[in-house]
Amino acid sequence: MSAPPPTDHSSPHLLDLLQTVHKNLLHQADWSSLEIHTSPSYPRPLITGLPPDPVYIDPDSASDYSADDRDALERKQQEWVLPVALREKWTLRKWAEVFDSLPEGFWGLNKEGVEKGKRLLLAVVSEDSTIVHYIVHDGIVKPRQN
Amino acid sequence: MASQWGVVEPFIIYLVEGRYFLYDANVVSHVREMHRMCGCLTGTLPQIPQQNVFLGLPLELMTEEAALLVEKGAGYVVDDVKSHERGLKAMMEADKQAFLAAREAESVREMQVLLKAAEERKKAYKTPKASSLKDGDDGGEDGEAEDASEEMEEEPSSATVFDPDTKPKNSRNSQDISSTALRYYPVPSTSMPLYHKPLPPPPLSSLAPVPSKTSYPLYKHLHANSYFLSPGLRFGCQFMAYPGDPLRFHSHFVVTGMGWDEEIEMRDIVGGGRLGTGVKKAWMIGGEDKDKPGTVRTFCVEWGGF
Repeated sequence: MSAPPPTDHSSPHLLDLLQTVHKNLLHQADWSSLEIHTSPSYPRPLITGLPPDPVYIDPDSASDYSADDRDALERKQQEWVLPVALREKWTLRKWAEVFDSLPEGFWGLNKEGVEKGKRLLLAVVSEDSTIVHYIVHDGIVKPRQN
Repeated sequence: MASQWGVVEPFIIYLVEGRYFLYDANVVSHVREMHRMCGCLTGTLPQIPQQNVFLGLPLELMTEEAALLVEKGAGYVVDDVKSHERGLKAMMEADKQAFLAAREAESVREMQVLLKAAEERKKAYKTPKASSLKDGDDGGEDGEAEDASEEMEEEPSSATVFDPDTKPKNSRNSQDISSTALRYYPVPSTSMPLYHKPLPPPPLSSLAPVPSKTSYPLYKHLHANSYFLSPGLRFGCQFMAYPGDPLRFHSHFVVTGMGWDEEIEMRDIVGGGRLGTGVKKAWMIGGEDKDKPGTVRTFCVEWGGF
């Protein structure tokens, strides 16, 4: 199958989503180092940033992490955010394309010294501008609380 | 080669009304241990079908499980009803008589064993009583108060005193008792080879209901990654994935298979994420990559926490 036409990153719909999520992360969720990525190498506009508290702790290293440790590696972990609207429909293909565009090795190494799988935060924007964030992992990643 | 349960592959997977069953407990154990498949126990008590919390044999296999077993060459599908009919038609009259005679003999033998055990119980019951309550045994009133089995035993002697016609029920001698005693006929849970002749494994076993194209690659992918999969109806998904035997682990994922270009509403992703997080699991969707046949992509969704 041929590749789908590249998404127009300047469409008002996507720019509006991007602005809404960016403002929400900056002013409500207190993220820092926010950066907007609209390069055509990404199928959709993406945001990176540093959350005030780690949004995801690997369940295998959760016992080593202490919330009081200001220098913990987890505290320096930037996250990728994908803004989407609640009324959108997605397919496995689209998700795979987004994940394939993310850089390798961005999330450090796990306990066995192997690169952690890719993940992103799905920022779902509803019509009343409510935003809910879901963590999406690429591959088989066991849940945090089990 | 036979496994520790004496199961020789390929074993038979029975097809009844478009559903796959295993009837033999040994095959069920074998499949669970060697193939990481648990299926679903569906058998209940014929008289008490509402008792459906603890079910027994037969074990129903998911279509995906049956398909993978056939694909591996571990099992082959046999139409249960057809092979039964074929076996019945092909049965010779002499074989039939021999089988019935053997069945009768087995039943009589079992009954005699039961009667003997009952006699011994009675003896064991009476012996200490005779020593401790000698007077009680002689008294007529005490005898009446005792239970019916004791009364039956005493009757043959008393029948000589009383008119036998007034108590026809109790005038039976021990032989009569044996002819009317409760008889059991052996009912094996596996089909008898005599009137059940499944065909030998065909070179290419075919499946009647085939698994869905969207879920089967994902099933195989997770199974190959050492997960145990069970039906996911309880959690509104297709499969639940356990990292080991379900008796030892909680499941990690609620899994839904999808086509590569099948659209999913963001609302369903949000719903799935909430469901998975609510039951301390991750919600997983996945499917076969159309551009790279044979590879499966999976995505796990959890609530972000803010």
